[in-house]
Amino acid sequence: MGEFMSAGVETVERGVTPFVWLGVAIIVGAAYALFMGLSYYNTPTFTTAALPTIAGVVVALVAFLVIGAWAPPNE
Amino acid sequence: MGVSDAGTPKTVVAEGPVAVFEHPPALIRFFDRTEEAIRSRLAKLSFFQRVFQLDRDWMTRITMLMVVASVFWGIVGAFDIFGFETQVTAFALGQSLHLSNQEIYSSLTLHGIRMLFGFAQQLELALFGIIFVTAFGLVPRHKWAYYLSVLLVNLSMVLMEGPFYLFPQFNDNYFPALGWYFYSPLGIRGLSSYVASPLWYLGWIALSVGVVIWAAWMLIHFLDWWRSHRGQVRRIPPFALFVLATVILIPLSYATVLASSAWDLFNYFGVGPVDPLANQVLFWFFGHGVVYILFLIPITAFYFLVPIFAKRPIYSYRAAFAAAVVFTVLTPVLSIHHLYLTPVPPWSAWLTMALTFFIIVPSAITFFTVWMTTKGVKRGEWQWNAVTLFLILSFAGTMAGGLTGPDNNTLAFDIDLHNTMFIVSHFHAIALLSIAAGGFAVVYAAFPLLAGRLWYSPRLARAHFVSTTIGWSGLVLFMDLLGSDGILRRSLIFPLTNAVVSDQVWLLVFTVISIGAQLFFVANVLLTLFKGELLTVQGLSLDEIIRKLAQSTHPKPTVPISNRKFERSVPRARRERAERTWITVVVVLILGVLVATSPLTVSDSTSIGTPSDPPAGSEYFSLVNYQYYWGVQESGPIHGSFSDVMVVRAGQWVAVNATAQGATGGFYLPFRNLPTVDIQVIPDAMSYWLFQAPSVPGVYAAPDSEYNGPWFGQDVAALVVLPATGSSSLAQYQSNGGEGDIYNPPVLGANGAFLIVDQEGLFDNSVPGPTLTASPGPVTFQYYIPTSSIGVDSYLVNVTSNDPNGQLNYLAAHNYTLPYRVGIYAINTTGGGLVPVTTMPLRVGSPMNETATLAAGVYVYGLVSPIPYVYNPAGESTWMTGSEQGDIMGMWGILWVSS
Repeated sequence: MGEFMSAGVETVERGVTPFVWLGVAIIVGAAYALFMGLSYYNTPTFTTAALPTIAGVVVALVAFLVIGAWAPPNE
Repeated sequence: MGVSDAGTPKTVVAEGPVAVFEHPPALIRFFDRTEEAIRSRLAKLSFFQRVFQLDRDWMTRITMLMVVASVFWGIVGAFDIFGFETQVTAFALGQSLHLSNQEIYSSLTLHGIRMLFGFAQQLELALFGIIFVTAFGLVPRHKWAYYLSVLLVNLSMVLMEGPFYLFPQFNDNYFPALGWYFYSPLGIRGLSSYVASPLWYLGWIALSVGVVIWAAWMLIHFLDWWRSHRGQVRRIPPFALFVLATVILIPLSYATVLASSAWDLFNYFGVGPVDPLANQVLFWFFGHGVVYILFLIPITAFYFLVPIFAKRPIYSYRAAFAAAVVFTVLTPVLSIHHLYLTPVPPWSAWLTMALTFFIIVPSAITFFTVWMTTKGVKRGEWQWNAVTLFLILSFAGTMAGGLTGPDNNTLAFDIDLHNTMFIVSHFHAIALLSIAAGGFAVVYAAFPLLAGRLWYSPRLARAHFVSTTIGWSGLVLFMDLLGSDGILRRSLIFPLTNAVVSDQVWLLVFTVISIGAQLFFVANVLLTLFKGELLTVQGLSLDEIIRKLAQSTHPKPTVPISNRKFERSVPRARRERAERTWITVVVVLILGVLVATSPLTVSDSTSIGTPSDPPAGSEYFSLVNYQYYWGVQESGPIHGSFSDVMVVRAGQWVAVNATAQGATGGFYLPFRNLPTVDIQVIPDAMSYWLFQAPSVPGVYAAPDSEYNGPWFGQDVAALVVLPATGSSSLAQYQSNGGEGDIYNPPVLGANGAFLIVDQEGLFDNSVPGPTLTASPGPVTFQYYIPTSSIGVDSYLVNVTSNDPNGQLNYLAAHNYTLPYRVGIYAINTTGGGLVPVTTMPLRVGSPMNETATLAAGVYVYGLVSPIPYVYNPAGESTWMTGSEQGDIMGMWGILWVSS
């Protein structure tokens, strides 16, 4: 799948690439998940029970985007 | 692939002589002849010929049959949830309730069953089967094994409904009301007050056998291919790894539900040992596994479709391989994270938490690998058709749903989230925005191949995508908002605050949008079948065919479908270095989170499983969760026996030991200003907890947090916190919002109050009823049970009949007086329980005046003991159809008298 390659047609480049759009999708989805977790911010056990996990997700998201930007393209 | 002169595929799969048997057995010959006779007759009708593709090869025909069946169950499942949500919204808006509790909980149960197994899983089996066979160029064999699998899967849906009556009048009250995950012993005859039909358990067994046959069929074909291509194939396509993972996970997961269902069935007939907790652990090996089996739909879709549309191979094959292996290894062992709040050994809870965190790794690999596959794709090379639009929705949806998984998996955080609408939001984000969106991507890519026609309307496809995205996103959002307030799942009865009512109404709105959105899809499918342009595929590779099919969902396609020349310029080592960096970060983060959360995890799990050593002066609660009230035995400074009332002094420590009879229950105090209390209580097991009561005197609601049968909504207890000494008003309690417990009943002045009983037999739509306040001295208020409130949802008149006048006839025959007494009862904290101050007969249709002269103190008013109720419409309850009885307590409240 996606491995049978032959000559193609050159197309005009404009707008946002699918890589960026998928990155935006990841940010939107992850932001929503963080919103869900952070809506418990006012519970007394939030800092000890929830925050380590939510912080882990935040760091993972940032790392995901940074490593994705740094990684070589699929060329 | 067979192609006609016009290039139209007459067969999706390869054809040829298939010598399964040299001389087919007589039974097979009979089946073949019968099928041919039916097919040739139905094919004469254009509608059947088109919809079921009766002129095509058998694999296409059976796949279309599965697709049609899954759409059918999806439509029925949508009606199920529409019925549930309209009833819940009617309760929120004070409108009349149109269905019985039994019917409405059956709707919810069957919604889950039909959507998960009739719709989603059947569609998964259909699509994976046809794609696997097509992509591998296999010649399908064992037709009747495949038919048997499909038959059993659909038969199971019918069996799980249970019997219903067509004559003498239609009666569907006996549909099961267990929940898609069913907790032993709920529903088991002799062990539970709510008894499901044994057909329920047989249905699960049929489903298990049917799905395992499908997996065996797939495995046989894969092995055929493997043997015939040994030495010729360097590697299996990445998407096929995840199809194989599904094939492996199905028997591993379904073996456990087969075992637990068989165990339940034996128990149903009084055979064998009973161990509810062990049974639940066994069930959840399946309950978790099946989520991942379905989750492999979008995962497979990503690996299958993204490289096709990116016109380049996957970023890292090794990473994809590793993800498939880790998914397969970890999925079957994560049962206990659904049972964190039960008395399981703390080491097992911790180990499950750790392993569950590590199952993030294959998802992390997948998202990185798939995302990076598109890096370097130019804008003009990528088309946003229905396939890629649903792919990106699934991408975002998996993030939204998947990244709330770690929250649930953190045991100490799970105490706040468990069984609330947060969980419902989490799994609908996964089920809809991730799984179903990924499924639609595959359907838009594959359906024309089955139909032999291109999609009819790109605009309908766009409308479907846009309206579905809006509907599902709103639905998930408002479920979450209800959850963060502390509202429990499966709530038919809930506190009617402005926010909760508003969120519930919006939830119904987005449910309707979600259902309506699918009409665009169904219309497009039908138009495609009857008016779609004939598909020609001559000279095209499979990738090009998929692009061509997807292109027919784009109004103005500009991207060519042809393959492009691709030569690797970035070496594998560089790409894999990025993958390794990302995986290392994820593993380090998981270890960090584990280190940070482990102490509290072990501490909380230990507290649930073993009795604590409470400080001196603590109160001891021995609780039994009955269907449908709490039996309370107190010892310590306060002692006595109560029903649904728990009494404690402000700031006092409370040591709870709790068990259940008949079904799993949950002791839940959804505080927001104090640590939430939430433990599951299971028959034949003891759960413990130690907590400090609020320092502010008041009435704190404690709803049962586990579904325990169709009168579930009525069992809300009250933690009555008395002042440490003397008396105290409720002013501070009201000003601090009752410590944020959303279920707290409203506070009303007692004198002059006029409490109206609703259709559920509750005062002012609240259980407990409003907390009434008064000063010491004469207190006067009124109760009123309107005759119009007496219906099948009111437990007060123990007559259930399909005769709409049955209960009213009973009332008329008994002078509108019921065999119970209502009154005001003092709470005696020194062993006397509830002491009557004043009582009177319970009447319907005329106000009852409650008058007493009261000293400062706390009282219980109304109907203060559970009422036995047998639900038996038209006398049709039997062991075969199911039955229901229980003790219900809803028409009561607390009267707070202070100077």
